[in-house]
Amino acid sequence: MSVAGKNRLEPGLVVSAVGTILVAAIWAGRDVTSNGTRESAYLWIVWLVACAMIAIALLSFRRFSRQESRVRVVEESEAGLRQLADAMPQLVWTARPDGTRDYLNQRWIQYAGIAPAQGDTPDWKRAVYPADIGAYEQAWRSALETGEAFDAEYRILRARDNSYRWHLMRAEPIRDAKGQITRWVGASTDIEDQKSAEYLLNSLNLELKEDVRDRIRQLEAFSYSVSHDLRAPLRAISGFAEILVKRHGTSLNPQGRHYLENIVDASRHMGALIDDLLDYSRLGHKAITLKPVDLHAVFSDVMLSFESKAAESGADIQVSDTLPVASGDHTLLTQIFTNLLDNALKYRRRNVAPIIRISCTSAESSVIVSVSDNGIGIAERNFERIFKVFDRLHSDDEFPGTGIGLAVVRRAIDLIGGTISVESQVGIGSTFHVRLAIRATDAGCDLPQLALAVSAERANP
Amino acid sequence: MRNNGKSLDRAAHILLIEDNRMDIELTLDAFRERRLQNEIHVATGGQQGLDYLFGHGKHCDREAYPLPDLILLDLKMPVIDGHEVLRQIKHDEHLKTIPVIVLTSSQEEVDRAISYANGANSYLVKPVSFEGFMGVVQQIDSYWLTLNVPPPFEYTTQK
Repeated sequence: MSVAGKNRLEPGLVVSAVGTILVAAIWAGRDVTSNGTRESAYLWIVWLVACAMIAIALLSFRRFSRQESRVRVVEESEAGLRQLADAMPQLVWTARPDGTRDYLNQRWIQYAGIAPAQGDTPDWKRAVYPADIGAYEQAWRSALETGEAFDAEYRILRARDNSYRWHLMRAEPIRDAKGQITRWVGASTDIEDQKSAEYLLNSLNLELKEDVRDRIRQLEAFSYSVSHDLRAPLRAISGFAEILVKRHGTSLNPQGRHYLENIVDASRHMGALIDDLLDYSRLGHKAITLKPVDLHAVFSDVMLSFESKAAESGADIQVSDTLPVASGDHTLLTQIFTNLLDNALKYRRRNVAPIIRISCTSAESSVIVSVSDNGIGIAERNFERIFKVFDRLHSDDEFPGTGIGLAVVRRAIDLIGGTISVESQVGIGSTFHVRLAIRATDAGCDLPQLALAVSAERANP
Repeated sequence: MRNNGKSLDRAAHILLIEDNRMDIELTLDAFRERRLQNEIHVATGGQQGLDYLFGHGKHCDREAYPLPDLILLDLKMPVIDGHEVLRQIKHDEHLKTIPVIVLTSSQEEVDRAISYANGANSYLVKPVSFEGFMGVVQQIDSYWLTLNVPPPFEYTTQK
């Protein structure tokens, strides 16, 4: 770095030289012209001028020497900075405001093995992976235009093993007091190890995803087989048993008929088990997109399938007419409330007509839909058990069932991000509370075209 | 044997394409039980079904093996499954007008989707109980063979 004016004639020096000559001349000619007042007045003026000139000279000399020391400080600090930069493990460089690199630290030069030609800045671009240069230069150009710091990732050839390694580079502009960029300083760090770890992680992740997808496909194939292959022989068992009872029942004694009826009952039960288990296993790998679902539409579907059952048992079922739109999935919500209503009807007290109420209360950003009945009730110690697969509290003779219904309910509610709780008193009745998010966004889901989804849900339940 | 915009005025011919021996027996039994006066021809697999419909081999004798008025098609069959049979039926100029009812144990969404995409006219899930099965058979008869007006006869007999 050169200092402007260093070689120019310093005006202070000139003034002081002239002043000194004048003083010397006056001193030398004092004896010759010391007579007469005019001369003596003239001398005094010359004295004063000379003294003023010396003073100016001294002041300007002081300023000059101070400037020189400042240049020295800058030069020294620059040398210190370079020493510091040379000692750093990062690849450091500086560039002029126009973007030309004017310095690379020793580490850069050694790392890439690019010894500079005499006094020149080494050709650093030679060391950058050719395919990465384009993107880097584009970023660099736009940084020069906007004057903003920028980051880039590129591969640099490491001379030691002749391999390209990823680097993360950051460059910052340095500005003077007026805000003008005087320089750019950049440093890059070898991130090859992080990069390869990241790559490994990504590929492992992909592998894992593929593995999961594979398992889901296997599960689907499994449930497909269960759906078809288990049912076909079962249909043969129950079908032929029914035909036997019907057409050949008279040629059997009562005990034979009883056994046959047992076969029919058992195969029916097994059919229900297969269906319920399939429902349950399907929920395990169902991909759910949460949508706003009108609970009125859900309950009108549910009630439709309960009409005859309700009439049969003389049940009084009332559904609140202020049900909101909740976050969920129409099919799952229908499944949930069908199961709950089914239970409310099934577990009724002997000789007591079922009274079932579906009500709702709003809580903050969620709604609680409650299904309450006046049935047999559940002891508190069994509140957890009832949600487990195959765990039943009653024999099949008391209340026929598969023990899967509430497990399906809980799984379906989990899937749509809700919760379920139960309140009950033995001999009085039970209430199941289903808490659902009101808006799908509250359940952490993206919700494009909210209104559209609702209307589609209504049009095509 | 001609119908003029009315339902069939004769015993209908039904082709049952089903590989499960017991299911065949149950279906035939259900039709018999309901005293339905239909003639049921049985093809015991996908290939046999296609042979029958396309008149391969002995099936070229349309007196003995007439083209059906209705096809009952099982989905899960070895080698050539119901989806493939349905695809070939609906891709054939003459056969495609014959109503095809998919009669299967599968409630899988994917089976329903593929069946309708291939042009199935109806999709019925076989109930496990015989009682339920008879109900289905009765409904098939009363809707497809009694109420439904079939396509003009020529369309299906040109082949």
